[in-house]
Amino acid sequence: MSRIVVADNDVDALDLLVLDLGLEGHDVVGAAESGEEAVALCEALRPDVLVVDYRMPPGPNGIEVVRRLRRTMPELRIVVYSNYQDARLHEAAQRLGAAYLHKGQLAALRRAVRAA
Amino acid sequence: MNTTRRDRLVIGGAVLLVLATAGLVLATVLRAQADGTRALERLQLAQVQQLAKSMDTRMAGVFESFNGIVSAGPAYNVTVRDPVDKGRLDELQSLNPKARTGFFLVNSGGVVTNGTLLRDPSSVGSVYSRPGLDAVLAGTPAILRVGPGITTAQPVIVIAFPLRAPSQKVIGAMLVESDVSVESAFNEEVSQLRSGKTGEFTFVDEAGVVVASSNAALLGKPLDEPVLARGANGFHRAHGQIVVVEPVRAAGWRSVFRQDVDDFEGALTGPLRSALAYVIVAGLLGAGVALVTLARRLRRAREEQRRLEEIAAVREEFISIVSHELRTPVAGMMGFLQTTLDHWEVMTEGERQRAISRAMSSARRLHSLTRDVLDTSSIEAAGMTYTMEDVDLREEISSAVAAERDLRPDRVITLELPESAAWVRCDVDRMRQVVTNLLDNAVKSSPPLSPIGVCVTDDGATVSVSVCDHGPGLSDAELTRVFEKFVRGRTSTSTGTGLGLYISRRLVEAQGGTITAGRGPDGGAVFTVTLPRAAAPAEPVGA
Repeated sequence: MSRIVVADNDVDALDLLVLDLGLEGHDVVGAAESGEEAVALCEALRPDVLVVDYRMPPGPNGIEVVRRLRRTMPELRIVVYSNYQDARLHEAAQRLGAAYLHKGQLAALRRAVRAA
Repeated sequence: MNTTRRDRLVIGGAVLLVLATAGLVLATVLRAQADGTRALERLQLAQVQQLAKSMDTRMAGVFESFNGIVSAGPAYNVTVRDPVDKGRLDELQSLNPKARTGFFLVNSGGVVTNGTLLRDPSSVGSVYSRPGLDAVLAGTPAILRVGPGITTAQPVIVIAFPLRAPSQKVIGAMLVESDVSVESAFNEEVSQLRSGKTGEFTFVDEAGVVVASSNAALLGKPLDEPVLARGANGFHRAHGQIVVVEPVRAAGWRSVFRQDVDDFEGALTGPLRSALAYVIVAGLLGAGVALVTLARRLRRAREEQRRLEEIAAVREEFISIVSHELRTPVAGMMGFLQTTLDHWEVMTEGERQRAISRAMSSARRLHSLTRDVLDTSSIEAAGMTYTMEDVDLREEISSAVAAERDLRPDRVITLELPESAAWVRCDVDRMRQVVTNLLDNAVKSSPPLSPIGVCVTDDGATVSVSVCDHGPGLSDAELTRVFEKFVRGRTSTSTGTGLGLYISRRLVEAQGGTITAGRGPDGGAVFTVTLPRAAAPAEPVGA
């Protein structure tokens, strides 16, 4: 079981993450609707895992959130969970030591959170 | 190579072509000018040569006729005041009663023995001294240089013939004075000659003194002409003038023509320069017009290219937006269904209901998005059909608002309706689609707890439906673009394809109405749909 923070500006998507990961036995300790809020929650709650969307205007996007948290929380496991299918985003996330999954791959997300 | 650089190269090439053509025209005109000038020089030289030749012939004639006069009859006595010689001279003088100058005889010692029209009678018996007289007394007829006369107060030239005894020995000379004046016989012909404004025909004697000229002021004076001093005949250019010199051999004179170069060449170069100026002006105008046209075409081509690039970028963005927007509800729908299936046993009844409800919400969102995309396609393919009927818009708007209230129980939606029926002719489903879209936009663009107002008004000619919110409103730029395709919401967090208002405008306009965007009193957005009012049906609906 992991302590998890989830972040998505789409309330439906956020609710799904909270519900599914909770039912999977994890402790979803925080839910953020923006990048700034995600960074603040992670720094405050020190979770094991962050699941973050990519596009969350007007604040920082998921990759920028990863970049910022890598400096202060290098041990944090991060999954970027987005509808954007762009190879450059995959590479950017991997370079920063984060996983990149497409939304809809719920089973893959569960595996990634367990393995992360 | 980028577009701007290519455009510059094209314009630069055009400029070079124009310059090369202008250079070619200039060279051709200059060559024509040089050829023309040479032809003019030859022509002027030929004219002066002809004039000199004419004067030469005339002088030869004068000598011949005087030779006849002198040789006719017995020899002159050539003694001072000889009455016979005097009688013969008077007889000759009487042949020309209007003559202004006279004759006189000198003996071999140069003493004047007789004369006509002598200004001073004491001249007879005195020695007449004049350069060139010795040669005459040696037997050669000549025209003596310009000098003071003894038969007139004017300077004169003197035609001198030797007189011979029967033995052919020279015993003296007959001298005929001819005044150097405007009226003189020699000057008469020359004075008529004109060439341009500054052209000047002149005859000078051996000493360079003017004996005849088209310029009367020069008569009897030395001609100040450096070319003449050099003694060179032919065509010359000096001190800004052209100078043509040709000898008159019979008289020992020279014919001189002078003219300012500009005046001389003006007859040729003037028209050529004018022609050149016209060609240059016409060329510059033509080139200017061509360059402007070229630049405009290039600019239009660039604008067209930019427009196409923008369209391509918009399409690319559209594809990106639509694919993202479609994936979001699909992911939501699948996610909630999958988590419900996977955790059915552990989920409470309430959790299952909420999850299925969220899946349904995503499905509805997906339906709405696909409908927008398909509607846009139909509108642009002119494939959209409308079922027009007369309806009381109050009922349709009330129904649409009620549906929205059911869907969003957390939002306050107020509704104002006119008291009497507001009849319009429209497609009911499409009009509800428009109003629902405006309500969705108002919900998305305003704070969660702020009310949304819907107001139907009827001014007798039109019926309007306004939807207003208390969100951030629209900027000036947004007001002008909000009904364009792919323009997304008023907040940067807005989601959607950017097609809703575009579709609404097209639907309303297709039904003969208008849709406008504005700002409410508190700065929120107000969208107003206006349709022409229709007459009430003959019988009440449902009666």
